[in-house]
Amino acid sequence: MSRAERSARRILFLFPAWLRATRGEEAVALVLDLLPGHAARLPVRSRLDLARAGLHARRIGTPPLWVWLTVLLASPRGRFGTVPLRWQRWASHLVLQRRHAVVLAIHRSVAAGVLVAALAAALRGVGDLVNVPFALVLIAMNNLVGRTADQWRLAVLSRNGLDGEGRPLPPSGWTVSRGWPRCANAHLSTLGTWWLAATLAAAGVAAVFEVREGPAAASAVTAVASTSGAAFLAAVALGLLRRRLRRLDVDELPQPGEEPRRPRLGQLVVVIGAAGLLVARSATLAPMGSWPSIGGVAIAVAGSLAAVALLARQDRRSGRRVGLWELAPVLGPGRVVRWAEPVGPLPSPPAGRRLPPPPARS
Amino acid sequence: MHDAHVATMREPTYLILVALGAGERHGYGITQDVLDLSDGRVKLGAGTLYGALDRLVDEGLVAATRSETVEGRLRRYYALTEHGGSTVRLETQQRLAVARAAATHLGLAGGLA
Repeated sequence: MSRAERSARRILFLFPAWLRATRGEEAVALVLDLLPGHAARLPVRSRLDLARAGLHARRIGTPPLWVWLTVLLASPRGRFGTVPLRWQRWASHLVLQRRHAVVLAIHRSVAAGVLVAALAAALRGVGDLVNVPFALVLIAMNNLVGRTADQWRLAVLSRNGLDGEGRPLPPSGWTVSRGWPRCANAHLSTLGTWWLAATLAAAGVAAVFEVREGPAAASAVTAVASTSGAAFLAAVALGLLRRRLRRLDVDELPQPGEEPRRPRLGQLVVVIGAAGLLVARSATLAPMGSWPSIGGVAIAVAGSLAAVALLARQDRRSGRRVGLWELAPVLGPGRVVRWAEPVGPLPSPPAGRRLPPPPARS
Repeated sequence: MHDAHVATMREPTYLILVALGAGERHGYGITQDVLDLSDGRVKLGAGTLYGALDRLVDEGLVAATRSETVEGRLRRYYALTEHGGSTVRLETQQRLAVARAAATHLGLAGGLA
């Protein structure tokens, strides 16, 4: 790499990351093409031009708050995620970058942290703000374990009419919808049911221990350790459950409007289990020993273990790992559609419609 | 829509569109064409060119058509869209009309050819 190229690449950092990713290489190539003769150094004029353009792009290339929020809140079942054309490349760069899972976890944690801080300050006073970093870690970990980032990426891309590489899809000939595509997560690994069962049981035991022993703990260190353990396990369990919930590894997708033929019995159990987990996680942060926290933990343990048993049975019957939505259609995608497929070559005209050969002249 | 573009179109932007009017060009080709069209007056730098191209792509006037790598350097080709073609033709007609009126007003011999 020449000295001029190094200089150009350094100045490129003035551009927003998404613009650098899409235009950076060709801008550097043009800068080098425009070098007078065999100049080793980048002329001052070129440096200033590049720097000015970079600062200008950074000034106008930062999306407004509502665009950031709608992309952040995009999910397969939600209504957010569509951004104006101008911000589509920013959005696609955000979700297509290599560490998009970390980016999502950080962004959501920051948003949730602000909410937690506001709630803590409003309900108990500023003294409890020490819980905020703890809550941030839990939320981030839950997002990472739950693998929501893949669904988030697909939701943002499909909502904006972009393909898996962020390129605009043709307006026709493709099937694009806000529904969940089959291929979206069929490749995702899903832990076996008994991993889920073990984590849920551990979370339940830790929560029970927390409710019973937490207030009477011998030292502050023990109390913090028990709270952390219970919350940690509950967050992991919830993440695993969310991962199962989104699994769509099915052989045949139901047609739009047609619901999968699965037992409705699981619906109530799954909902109770998921709600119980949420309560259990909240219970570890609520005043200890109160009836709501004890009830929450009890519901969590009973409902979650019942859900796990149901999942295991269904796995055995189907010979594969089913998604939770197959047991509870109400939790599934609003509309199941085919994933986008590229337009194939145009069919050749039928032989019968070809023009006859011209008559031979005599 | 067209009027809005025409009213705010600056000279470098106009020259880029005119350069692309002759067919698809890559970045270096555009800068050379703009240099020729402006009689050496407008020298586009990489930052200015890609800032303008980026905006034109967003507005749907220009689209990237293909890319290739030559001697290890990425070259992406751009072309006018249908909307871009009609916009640059309208802009040219308006500029021509203003130039004709100005020539007549200033009493330049013969006006514009």
